[in-house]
Amino acid sequence: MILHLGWTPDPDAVDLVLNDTQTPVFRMSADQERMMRQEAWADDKKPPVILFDHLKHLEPTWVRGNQGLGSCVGWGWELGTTLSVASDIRLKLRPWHWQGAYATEPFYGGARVEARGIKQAGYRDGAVGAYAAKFATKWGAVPRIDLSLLSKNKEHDLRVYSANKEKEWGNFGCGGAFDKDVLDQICKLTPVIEAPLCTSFQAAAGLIESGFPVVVCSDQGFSDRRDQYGFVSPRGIWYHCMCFAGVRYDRPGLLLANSWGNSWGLGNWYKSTKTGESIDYWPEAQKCSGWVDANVCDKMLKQQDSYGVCGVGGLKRRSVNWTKGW
Amino acid sequence: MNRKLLGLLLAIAAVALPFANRIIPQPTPDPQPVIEIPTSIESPIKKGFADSKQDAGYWAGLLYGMARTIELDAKHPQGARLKTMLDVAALRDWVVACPPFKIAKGDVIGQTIGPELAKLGSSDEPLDSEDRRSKVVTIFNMTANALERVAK
Repeated sequence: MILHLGWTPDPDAVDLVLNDTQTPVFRMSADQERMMRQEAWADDKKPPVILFDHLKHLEPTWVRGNQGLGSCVGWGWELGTTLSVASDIRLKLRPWHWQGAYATEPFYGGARVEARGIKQAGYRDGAVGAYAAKFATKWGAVPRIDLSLLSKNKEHDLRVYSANKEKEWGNFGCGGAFDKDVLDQICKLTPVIEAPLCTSFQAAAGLIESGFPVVVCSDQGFSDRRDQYGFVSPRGIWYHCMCFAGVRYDRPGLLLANSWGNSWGLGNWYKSTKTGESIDYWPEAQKCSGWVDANVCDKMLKQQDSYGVCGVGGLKRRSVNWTKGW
Repeated sequence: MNRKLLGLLLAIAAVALPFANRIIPQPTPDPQPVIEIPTSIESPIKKGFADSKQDAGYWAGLLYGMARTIELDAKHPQGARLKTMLDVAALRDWVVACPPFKIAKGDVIGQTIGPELAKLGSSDEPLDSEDRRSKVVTIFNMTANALERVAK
């Protein structure tokens, strides 16, 4: 099996996006950093916080997909958005209507074309994290549903992942060659609210504690196999985008979710170093994730192209069944 | 004033003090409003909680708390926080999730007041129009009262 990567490091592009005051992608202020540190109170007896908990309840049949090309940035942002909305609904009890997991193709195309302000980006794979953050916040995210009736374009049926479509949209931008910005306008109805740059384990832990996953872009590679406590060890170089979706404090670390289907991360998934307790967790989350030590997380996040996904705006409200829920 | 007169006055005062509340009118608490509970709420609650008085007490507390919160929210200095029926549902979700254990017989509560609340709305219907807020408060109060009667 070919394992695709696809992160393009570009510090100039990151600066450009972060300095654009019209885009809610920003460096955290000292106060915000302090707040995040307070949020992540490092008590080694505290149970792990895993954002997959919320997705498991809303979408029990969810399975992690497999990126068909070097579109990891789209996949990282898709999972970040999906988990952020799921946490909003379950953790913060926001009355949003759950429409399912988000689509990867618009993120990938948008990061390569719309966010850069160009017409075509060519067929060479890869994207910059900052441009995906810009697309997510200035345009938006759409779930994996059939939007073709709304946009009157058959290509906008997003129910099934298509690597070919992703390749095409990577060149022509979100919506494809014949889109005429219609899908862009649909994306703008539901933008990601904020995407703060995340540069440390503490900040990422604070964001995850608050229900916001962190989409991480770095050149850090990992082993396939997890150790007895569930940690993957750093090995090799991957120019890759993934998603931090959990935090633990017994041995400080973050849960890293990959986009290689259900084939990544073998061996024990979680065992507490303090109590020796294991968690019998949702198998689909186990098949695509592994824990990463805090010092390795710091090394990844210091590469300055990783962002918290802080909620999605404009979501449709669900209706209440008053007979249930008591 | 001579000593005898002073002693007499003190003696009268000592004798009269225990009866002071009869001489000077005391403020009395306002009478508690009697809530009339319709049979559509009272009988299913009575039937459903007949064998679990403790749970009835727990639910009474939660429903009174919600009613009071919704009522006072209207007077929030920065404007009401609960704006729609969905916000009431979000409050309900919070309150139900608060106790450290799941309180039994929630289905009885849902079947009793669910249809009543559904009549008022189940989505973006504004709480402060068509008298919804007071209607919701009344439903919660009546149910809490019925539960309290069962719990006693």
